[in-house]
Amino acid sequence: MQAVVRLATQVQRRLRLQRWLRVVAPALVLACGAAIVSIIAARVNGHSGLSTAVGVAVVTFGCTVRVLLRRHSSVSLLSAAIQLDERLQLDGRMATSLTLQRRTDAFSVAAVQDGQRVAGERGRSDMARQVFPIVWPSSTPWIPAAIVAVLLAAWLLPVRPATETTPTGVPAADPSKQQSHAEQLNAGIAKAIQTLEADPQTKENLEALLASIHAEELKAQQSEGDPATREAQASQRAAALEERLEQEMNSPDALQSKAFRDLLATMPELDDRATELSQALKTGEIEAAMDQLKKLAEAANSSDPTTSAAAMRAMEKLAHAIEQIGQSNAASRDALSKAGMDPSLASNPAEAAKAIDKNTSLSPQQKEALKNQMQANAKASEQCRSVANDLRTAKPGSMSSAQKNLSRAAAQQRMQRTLSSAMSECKNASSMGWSMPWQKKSVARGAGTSGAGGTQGGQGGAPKTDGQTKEIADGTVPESQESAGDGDPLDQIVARDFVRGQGATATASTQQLQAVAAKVEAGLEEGSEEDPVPTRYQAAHKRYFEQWKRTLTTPSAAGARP
Amino acid sequence: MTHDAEAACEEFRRHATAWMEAIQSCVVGLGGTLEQCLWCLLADGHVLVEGVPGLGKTLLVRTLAHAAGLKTGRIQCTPDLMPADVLGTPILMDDPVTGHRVRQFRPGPIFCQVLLVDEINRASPRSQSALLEAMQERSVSVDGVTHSLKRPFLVLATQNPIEQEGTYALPEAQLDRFLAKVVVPMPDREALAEIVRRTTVAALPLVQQVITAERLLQMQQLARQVAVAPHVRDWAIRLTLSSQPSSPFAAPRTQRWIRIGAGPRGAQALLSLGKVRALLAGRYALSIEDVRAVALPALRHRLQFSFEAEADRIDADGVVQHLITTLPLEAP
Repeated sequence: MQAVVRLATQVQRRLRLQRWLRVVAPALVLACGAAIVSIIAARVNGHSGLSTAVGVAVVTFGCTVRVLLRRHSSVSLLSAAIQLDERLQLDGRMATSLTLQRRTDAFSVAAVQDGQRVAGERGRSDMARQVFPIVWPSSTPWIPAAIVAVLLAAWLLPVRPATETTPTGVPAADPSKQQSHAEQLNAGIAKAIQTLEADPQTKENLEALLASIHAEELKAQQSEGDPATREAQASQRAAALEERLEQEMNSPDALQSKAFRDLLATMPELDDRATELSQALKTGEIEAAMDQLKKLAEAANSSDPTTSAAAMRAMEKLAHAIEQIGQSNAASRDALSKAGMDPSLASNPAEAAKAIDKNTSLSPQQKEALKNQMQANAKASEQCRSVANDLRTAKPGSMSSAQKNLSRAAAQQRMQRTLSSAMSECKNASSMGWSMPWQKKSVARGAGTSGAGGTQGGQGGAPKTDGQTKEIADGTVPESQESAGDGDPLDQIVARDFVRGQGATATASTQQLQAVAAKVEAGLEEGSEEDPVPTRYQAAHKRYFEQWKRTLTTPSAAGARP
Repeated sequence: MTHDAEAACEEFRRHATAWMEAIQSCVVGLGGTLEQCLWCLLADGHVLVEGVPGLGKTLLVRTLAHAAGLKTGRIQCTPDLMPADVLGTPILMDDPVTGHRVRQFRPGPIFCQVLLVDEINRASPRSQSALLEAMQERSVSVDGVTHSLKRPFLVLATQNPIEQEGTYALPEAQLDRFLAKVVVPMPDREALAEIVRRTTVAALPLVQQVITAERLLQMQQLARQVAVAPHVRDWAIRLTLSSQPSSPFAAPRTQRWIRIGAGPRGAQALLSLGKVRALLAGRYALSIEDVRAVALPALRHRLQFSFEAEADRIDADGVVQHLITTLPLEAP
């Protein structure tokens, strides 16, 4: 038995050595490669990096050996004997001898003895060495090269001078990089803000929130501090809100939205299923119009052929009407006409712009405003055509453009109303012991309501209710608010804006205002020429000064401050 | 005890060699085929010999029997062959003593020690199945009476692989009972010249009886005692399992080519034939090399191939060779 075991053990040792060589050689090459990379990285960062390289090499070597050892199974004595039988063509005598050594039957004993005899034959050990040569792996030639490369890298690679470091040891950042980073951040923030503001719904919500915050602050301020301070602060805030509202109303989006609404308001009343929709558009109830449009689209896509056909006919009529008003250029013609220009230029925006530039009777501001109005009207006409096309298609999911256009207009409308409400609150708070003429009127009409266009309790200064704040925050304005004053409260705000900062309490200002009001009331052209109010707001302006005149000439209100 | 084994093994080899030489004196050019047939007879198994007509299949079988002094029987299978023609039948005979008629069983040709079933695939399935009990149990049941067959009992069946018209392919149960399937190759130039020389002269060579039936039984008994190491047995079992598509040891191509693999009789055949080969080689234990050598005759008729294998023109020998070469020496 000794001969078989000895021979098998000899083969086992050689097989194990061969297995380790197959594992260690590539692991060594990999470890050297990792060490070189580590040295280069360390030298670039200003370190020697030798200890790190040694650590990296050891870890790489260990991991590689572990992985490769799993791939090459271990060599048992029986496995060595089986391989020996195969290579020396011993017909399984070695392996059989090893496995049958404990058996006592004649053939097993004879087989074991046969194996011993074969294993003990002269020169068998040499034969085993010959058939199991130690073969160096193919990666062996790379080992000295890799080691030399590591040594050269450690010796020759210069250590790069260390960069400035902060007191905490953190390398100082490059100023140009910092600036670039800051610019990137700013650009990103600006883009994000732009994106947010581009969405009418988001913008509306932001504005409503801001207005709500202003109103809450105002309420808090009203509850504490002396009345004079509160009045001054409220007045300041009202002025700021008015300025913001003016900007919003003069923005291209606002002008376009207003022009779109104005165009829709000129729509003729339709019968059939589109009656409610046309009425909603005509009265400027954009949200109600959107609901009606959705219902109509659902009916058009109904499975009932009769319903669908009727809805399709109604939508066709509606589309035709909207298309007609889009093509009429009525708003542009009207604007040109009021500016004393040829209304036919409305059909050619480019020519109209040139004509406006050449017009000497208009001030630069008026020219700019007129051009903006023309541009807004053109875009509104385009919107009308787009909505008309969508209505004609009337397929599921194809109303997105129409709804988007209407939604944008509705959002703009809501935002302006919300701002107006918030501003009115501030203005009421600022008035305290006095009130504006149109506010008085709103008190008479809106008593007992939460009308933002007027004051509560007649003399103003009364604190708002929580419900009122909520309405502002939600961006919803009760119907009573919209009819609280003479005309659109927005127009009143704009009209008041034209005398803002004039010191209405001063005698000179009062006289100037009286003179202007008298001219306007008398319908003199001189009054119109002196009037810096754009045509669009002249009616509100006239109304505003009429109220002023009544206020100033009434003995009881003589001491009141504007 | 060891000396007894060595002596018995030596005697086995001597008789087997003498038997083979006696056969080769009559049969030419069937070296490998003859050796495989001898393995089967020494392992107490039945042989299915396949080859085209005129290759000496019948002569081989007859010579094998005569050299061992065994009683031979022959059945020439035809489609109208009846089981009674194989097994025998009870007949009415006059009893000369009593004068009455009595039923007496007349044994069929199966009652012999070496049965030559010529062109077995021409017999109907009914007649083929008449051989099942005889091959497995070494007994015949006729008319409610079981008749034991004299030992050794060996069936050597031949079949022609070319003529398929009017034949009945052997069912799996029948095929599985053959220990080996031996393919008789076409003789080469030298072998054909020797065949022609010997068979075209006035005096045909006569086979000499070199062993007896009792000696053959002793040799069969001795062959069963050959030692088998666990790792060799495991390799034979894994080889068998690798031919089964559903086995975890199945070779990659097994699942594509094989529909039904070898069963337990396949593993038994591998070890039985391998043991005989080891003894003939003068060894006392079975080796993996022995199993490799006997794998073709032991397994080739036990595999049922899939449509893909037929489409790929894969034959049984190719598949078995693939299994042998792909099976690792040690279990994973």
